[in-house]
Amino acid sequence: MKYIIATVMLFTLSGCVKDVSPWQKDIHAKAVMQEGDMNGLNQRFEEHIYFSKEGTKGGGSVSGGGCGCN
Amino acid sequence: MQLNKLSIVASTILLAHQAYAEDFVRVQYLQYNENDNRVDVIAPSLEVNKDFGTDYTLNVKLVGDTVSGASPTYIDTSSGASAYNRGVVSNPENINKQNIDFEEDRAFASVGLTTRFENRDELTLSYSKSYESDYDSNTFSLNYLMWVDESKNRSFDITTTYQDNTILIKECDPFNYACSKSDAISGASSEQDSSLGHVQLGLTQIIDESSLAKVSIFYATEEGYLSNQYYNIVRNGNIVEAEQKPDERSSYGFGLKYFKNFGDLTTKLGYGYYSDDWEMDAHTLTIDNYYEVNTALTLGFGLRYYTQSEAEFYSNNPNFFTTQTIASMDDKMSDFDAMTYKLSFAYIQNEKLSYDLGINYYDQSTDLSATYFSAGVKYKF
Repeated sequence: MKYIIATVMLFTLSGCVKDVSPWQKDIHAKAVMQEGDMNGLNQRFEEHIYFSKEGTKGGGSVSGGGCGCN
Repeated sequence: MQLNKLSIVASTILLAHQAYAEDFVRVQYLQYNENDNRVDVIAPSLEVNKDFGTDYTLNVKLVGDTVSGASPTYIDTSSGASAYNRGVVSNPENINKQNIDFEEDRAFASVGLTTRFENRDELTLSYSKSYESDYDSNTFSLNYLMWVDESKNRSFDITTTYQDNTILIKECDPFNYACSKSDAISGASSEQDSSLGHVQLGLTQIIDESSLAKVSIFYATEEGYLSNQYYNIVRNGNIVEAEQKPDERSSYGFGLKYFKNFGDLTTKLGYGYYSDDWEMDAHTLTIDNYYEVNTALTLGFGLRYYTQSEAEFYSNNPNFFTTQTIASMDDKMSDFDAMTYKLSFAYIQNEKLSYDLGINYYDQSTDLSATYFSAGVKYKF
């Protein structure tokens, strides 16, 4: 939780975050800006390989929302 | 086969993200081949995504794997190539690391339902099942995505997952710690269980019209039979027995990502940190680039660097283990680095039909390397 709070504060206090309006989100709606590669099944297959061949799991993934287009 | 037991199910735990609202069917062919004639996997898959109005999205995935090849472990080679050749070996020179042949079919299915509320927050409930002849896994997951501001530039999300696994040890023997004495004598099968609990918190922040950042933290705990029944250790230089990993594991970590669009080029940077109470730490760095050649064709190229430290109970020295109860010679528990080189193509033929192709090369600092390939068709309806 401290990482999230720290990141929110970093974004907010640094002033680097713009208030982007919904009509300015055409780039965020692109397939290339979504989480993972352009094919969700490929990403699962790749994660499967890492899970099977490496001794750890979880460190490389990030969840969360995207453009808010739904 | 449990040699590769960390199934696709596991990957679904960690890939929760916003459900994309569109109706489509995707068919995919996936192929994975290791060097040295080790593991080969063929995995055709099908994904269907269907919206019901603007508030509900149903996602179904089906995958069928055929896994074959050989995986290396220490055995008594004078008795033939089987992981079950355990026991006291009169001539230690006969204890060698050798590939054990195997073949296995695996079926995976998942279903997820996303509900959107009036404020467009999302709740996704999902269930997945993975089945092999010696491994049965059921996973339940709940994800809540909460928009923080009116413009939907910032979202928090929480994902909780519970996974229950049943592992079947097909032929017990006296040198497998997981078998009861009677099963070990009769050679009967033995059922073992394991479970996983996982919680992940995430934040996504749109920074400006062309970039966003994500951060997440996770905590996971596993308990039960966490060993691999096909992997052996060597004790006192002359006894081959089944490995024994700890029956509990707690891990935590965090991930950071930054996506930036530069016109035709989009770059995604990522970093992940992992740590657990088996004394393993890992760092993962990724960079993925997508170049939009025109409105139809996109080229992707990426790199992934991974490094992990050794588990406290691992050794690759056949003379190392003496009285230790917890012991493993599984190379996955060793200290190594790995690189993945990725290349992909995506082509949109028209509003409904698109194709994609991916070629990847994975190279570990152990003697493992692999090539994997995917080809898919997506139809929007």
